[in-house]
Amino acid sequence: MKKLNILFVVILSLFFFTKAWSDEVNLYSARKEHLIKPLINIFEKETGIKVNLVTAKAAQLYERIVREGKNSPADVLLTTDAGNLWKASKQGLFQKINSDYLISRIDSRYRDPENKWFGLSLRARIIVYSLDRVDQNELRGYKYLSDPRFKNRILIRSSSNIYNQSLIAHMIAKYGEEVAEEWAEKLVNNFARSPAGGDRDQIKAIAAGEGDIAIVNSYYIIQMLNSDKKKIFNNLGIYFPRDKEMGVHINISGAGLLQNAPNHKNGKQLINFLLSDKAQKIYSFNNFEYPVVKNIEIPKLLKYLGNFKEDDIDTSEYGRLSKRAIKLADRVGWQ
Amino acid sequence: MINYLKHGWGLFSVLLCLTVIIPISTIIFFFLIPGDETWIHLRDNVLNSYISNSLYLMIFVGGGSIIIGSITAWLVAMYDFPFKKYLEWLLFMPLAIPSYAVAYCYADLLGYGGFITNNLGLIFNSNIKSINFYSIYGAVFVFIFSLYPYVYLLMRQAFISQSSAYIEIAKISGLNLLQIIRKICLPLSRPALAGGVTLVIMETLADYGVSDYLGINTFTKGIYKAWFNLGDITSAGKLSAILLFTVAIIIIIERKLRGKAQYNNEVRSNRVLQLKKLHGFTAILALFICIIPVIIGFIIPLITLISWSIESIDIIYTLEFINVAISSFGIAFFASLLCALFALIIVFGMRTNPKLVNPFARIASLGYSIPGAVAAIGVLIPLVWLDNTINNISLKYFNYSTGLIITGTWFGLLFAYLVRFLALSMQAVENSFIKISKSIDYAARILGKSNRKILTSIHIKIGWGGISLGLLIVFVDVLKELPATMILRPFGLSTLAIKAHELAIDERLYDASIPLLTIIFLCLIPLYFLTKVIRQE
Repeated sequence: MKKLNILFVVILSLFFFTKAWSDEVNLYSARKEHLIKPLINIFEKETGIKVNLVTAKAAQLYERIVREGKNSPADVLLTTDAGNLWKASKQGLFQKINSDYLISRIDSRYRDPENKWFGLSLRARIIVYSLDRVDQNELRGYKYLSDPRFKNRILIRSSSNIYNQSLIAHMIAKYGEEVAEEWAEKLVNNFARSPAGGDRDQIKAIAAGEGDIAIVNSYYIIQMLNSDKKKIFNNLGIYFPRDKEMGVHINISGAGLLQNAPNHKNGKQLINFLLSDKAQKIYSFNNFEYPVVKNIEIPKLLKYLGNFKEDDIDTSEYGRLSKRAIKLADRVGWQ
Repeated sequence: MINYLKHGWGLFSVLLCLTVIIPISTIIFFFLIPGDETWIHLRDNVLNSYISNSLYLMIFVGGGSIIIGSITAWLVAMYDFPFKKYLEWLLFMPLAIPSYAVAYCYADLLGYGGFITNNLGLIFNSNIKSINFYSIYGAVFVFIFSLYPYVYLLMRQAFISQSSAYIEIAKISGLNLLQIIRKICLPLSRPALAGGVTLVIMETLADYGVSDYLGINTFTKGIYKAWFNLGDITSAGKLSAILLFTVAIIIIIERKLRGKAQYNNEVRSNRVLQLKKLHGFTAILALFICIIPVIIGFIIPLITLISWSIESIDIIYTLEFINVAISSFGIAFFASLLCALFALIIVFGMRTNPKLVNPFARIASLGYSIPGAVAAIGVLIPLVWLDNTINNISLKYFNYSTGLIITGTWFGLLFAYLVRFLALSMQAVENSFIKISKSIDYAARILGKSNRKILTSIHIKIGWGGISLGLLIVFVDVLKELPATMILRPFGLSTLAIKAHELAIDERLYDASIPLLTIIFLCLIPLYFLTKVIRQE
């Protein structure tokens, strides 16, 4: 019984050593720790503000914030995908930041029209193809991928992934739901295999000859080019889909200040910092994303991908249409 | 007096069960909320395939782990053959690798440029560039070889503690080996078998990582889809409740089929069962049978992870990583103690007062079948409610806002582990208590011993093997646990499982290998002590 008492005391004491810092900011991040830790370290060093970090999936953090309610300790929510930001904003989780600085740094496509969330970095969803089996002239925009000529040649991951949901939402925004559904249906017919694995696995599948064309996010390509898998790309080409109606599908990672933020001043400072030249450079050099701020230096490998024409859509559209996109994918049997 | 004590213990057990039942019933509560359009969409478009895939997995994974788990347990418990001493605990080791990591390993080995496909090409001169592992067969494979240890562990414990007298009587009566297995050993170890398979099935049903990576639409994937993609936690809760009911029904049916059978060792034998020494071909065969699951479930993934880690070795030696390892060990350690404590009290309560305690105990052990992330919400809701109540009282009487003092602390996290993993330690403890003859309890009680005394000085001592087994399983599972930790953890707390997952999901498998290897390494520590306990027995 004595042991039980000791255990009880230990557990109780665990429960009390919690809060201590005076100048701090609480960050709920759907971006993984290893991606943002370098940024946080610099921020802490420069400002003396301690960053308390919790990472999880966007929907999980969102639920935690909602459940914690007005006593939530969270100051800033950081996440990928405009859809997630839109959803949080629609539920009233964010507060407005009136800042000319932020507005001047970010193109209006990549921030909330009401200034409740701000894009921090960009990624393009593009095509990798087999140089042996695909002629680059065959390739056009996303829409053309549904052409029967690509039967059994397309590789893409599951529609349960948000990258694809946003792409479908983008198609709905561009062409209307009916056309988008027809497109998705034909695209599914062109799949080389049932969708599985991550983006890199699609690229490897081209190399293995399972398909000819993969739709993947830009930074995965660079990560592979930067590793021992580099030689795979000897036989692979990279293409930025575009046609007359639609440019390259871009998604963002972004952040917003929470409605009940106990340290809202520090939270604002953190968001400002993430859009500074220094932080933007880290996004592109460490994570191989495109900076959201114009004229930031980018690494050679990113330049290697070439220039491309972004589509002119407002990224907040992805959020508005995401439910419809998911249901559409279910209807056409996109696993 | 005795009567009062009896009820006191039972009521205390029920109270402990209730703390665990609160979050579970929060999930069931979702079931009562009427479904909106998301629910209707899921029901009409995808639910059928989710259900059939999950059933398929359940049947084949359950069957596969029964076969592998009980055969290996039988061999290890009854025979002596070369390397048995090592195999005995190596057979447990697949549990130390998260199933999703096993899936990553095999997909890589069989994929383009993978070790297996490359060498197949060399051996057979074939032109296979990759073997498609992304299928339901792949998932069955992964689950069987990473989960069979639950069956193995419980069955092994059951075979060892079976009274040798039964087997000796059977031998004298001229039964052959197969008859002994069929008529004596299997029926006697039925609770262990049922317990082990239930754990395997619950874990399979609640899994997200494997089916997501291999692209199989399972029921739990549907739950996460409803929540993460469609933003509809109500539908997610409803689906979880269905999952919970299903598991409950399976358990009830199994209990009913068992009927009134009792599994206590009424016949005691002083002699320890003599292990039969195998020679020649039979020894090699036994070795071969036991080593196969170890190789597939542990050695191959381990070597793959080690080869990956060599490529990314530079990131490990940081102070931060050591901190993460220590805190992972800490929470796993405390969670396993907490679960064992609850399990001991509850199982003993079931023993002294089955009518009162049993129903509550059964419901309390359903937490394991709820997918981790949903269980976390079940925990979060009552905790925040409690926090807000404390906050309001404090504001009213002391004019001081306490904020959220439990949510987002170690306490909240440990509570979530308790809800989720209590079933594991209960299963292990129950399995070992069931072998203790009721007459021992009666004798002790006649001698005037209190229930507490009976528990601490008799049951814990006799059942120590099972209790430590429970400690180990919970320890390992907490080390691997992901979603609940992510959702409920305090600021600054990271675990090896979270590190591994974040790197793996970012498709940086090579970097993820180091936290995964550390998990395996940490599992060796309690395993070392467990093998000592077993030896002493």
